[in-house]
Amino acid sequence: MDQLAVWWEANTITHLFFSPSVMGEAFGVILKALPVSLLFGVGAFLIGIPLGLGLAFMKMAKTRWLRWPATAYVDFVRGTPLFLQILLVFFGLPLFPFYKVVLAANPWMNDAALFNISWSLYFRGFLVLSFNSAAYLTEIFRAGIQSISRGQMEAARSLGMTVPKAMMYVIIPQTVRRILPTMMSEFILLFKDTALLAAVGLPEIVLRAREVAAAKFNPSPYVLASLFYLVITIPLGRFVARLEDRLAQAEGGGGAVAPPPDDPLPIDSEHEIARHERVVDIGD
Amino acid sequence: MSPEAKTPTRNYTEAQPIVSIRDLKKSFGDLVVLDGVDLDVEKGEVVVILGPSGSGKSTMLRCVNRLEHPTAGEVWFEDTLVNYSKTNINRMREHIGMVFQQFNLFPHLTARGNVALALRKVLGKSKEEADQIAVEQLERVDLGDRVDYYPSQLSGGQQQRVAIARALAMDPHVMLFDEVTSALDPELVRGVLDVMKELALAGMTMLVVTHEMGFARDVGSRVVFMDGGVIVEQGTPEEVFDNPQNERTQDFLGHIM
Repeated sequence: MDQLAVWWEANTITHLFFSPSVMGEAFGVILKALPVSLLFGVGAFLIGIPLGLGLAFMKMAKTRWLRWPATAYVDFVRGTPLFLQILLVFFGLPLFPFYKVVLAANPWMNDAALFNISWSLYFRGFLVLSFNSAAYLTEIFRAGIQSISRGQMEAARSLGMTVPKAMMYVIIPQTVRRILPTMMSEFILLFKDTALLAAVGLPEIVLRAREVAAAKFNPSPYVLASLFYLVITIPLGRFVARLEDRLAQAEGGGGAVAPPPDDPLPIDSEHEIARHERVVDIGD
Repeated sequence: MSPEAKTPTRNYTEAQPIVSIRDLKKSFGDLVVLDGVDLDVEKGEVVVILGPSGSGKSTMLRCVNRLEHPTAGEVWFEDTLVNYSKTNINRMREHIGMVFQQFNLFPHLTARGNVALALRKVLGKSKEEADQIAVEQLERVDLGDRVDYYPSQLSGGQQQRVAIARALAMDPHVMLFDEVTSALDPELVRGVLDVMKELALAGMTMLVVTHEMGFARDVGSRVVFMDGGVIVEQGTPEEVFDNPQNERTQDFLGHIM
């Protein structure tokens, strides 16, 4: 056993990437950073959901004055690297005159809060991650809402429901079920992306791993850090896959029943045209 | 956009037609679907609308509760001009029940939930009261033993009867039926038609777009034949079926009967 330990530390590969002594030292440090990564991942995602929903409704609006800004925003966020957005927010925002005023009026923002991270860092971290995630969620929500058959909105409206009520009680509940797997995948992506906050000094998993790795001249903490991510992402990914299966089975019935193929329905041409209109366009 | 009428309300008594359609026109782009329709529906009448595919009958029905916006003309319901931009369309739709070809039940709710939803969220009834009304209405369509079933667990005919119960629960003054049996297997059509017949006998005012000639003859108080976006002929079932005056009506009935 001792011989194996000696060999393990002597061998270049095992020593560099799987050094038990370095990993042992890094474990406690990274474990303490795990809640920070989770906090930013979960928090930003929860903030991103209402933002994304709002943007999705803007993108489906009749007026271009809502549609265009939302489209431009989503295009920008999805078309540029998150790392760039982080640099922009972390180093750009503090130079903003308005932000300076706010900071001057609220000096406590630079005080350390939970996990010894300042309010100002929390603010900017949540801001950039939630706004980033909102852009991706926008497309998920929009596609989900538009996948609900137009007849659902018509049925709700024909009962006297307003568009917001029909959305809230009829369309959104069905949408959520349908997009839940995609949303969870988006969360996994976001959770991994919290690692980029290391670049601006937020003490999450990767930053802490890098500190130990640098001190020990040994990259084993990076391997350990990846295990910390996998412990979260793999079970979640499996759960998503099972959820997808279950939802696929549940979709079997419910809404409009497809007409039997050998007995085509007399579909009025006016219905065909109507079907191409947006789901939220019904009534006014 | 709907035409702005000068008088969005009219004096209305029950002696007048509950639904009045005047020179109704509807186009989708270049396609003219309705080309000037006039129709009065008296209270308690069952008006059956027949016609070939694309004749505009469904569109006309959907103009009555403004699921389609008329391009021109007027649609009156009781004392209100339906296609007037300031008309409270949601308030009006509470009194106009509609049943669709594809049922459009809410798949995430049980039969009871489907019927109770609008009672709670539109009429503001308590959960208990809404549930009680929902069960009563489901019993009325012979589904008292299916209240806790989800739409996916029901047959097409049962789903359509839930849809009828859902509309009836709002206590509508008029019911619109848009080819409600067209998506059903033949053996399931009967149960739905029976419910509609009972409804007619109970005095409900109904506009029925259908291909069920037997129903039109037995239950209809008036039969309207549409083609090319206009009403070609109308009269009692006997008049239209046994002695059609118009060539297109004769042609259509000749193909179908």
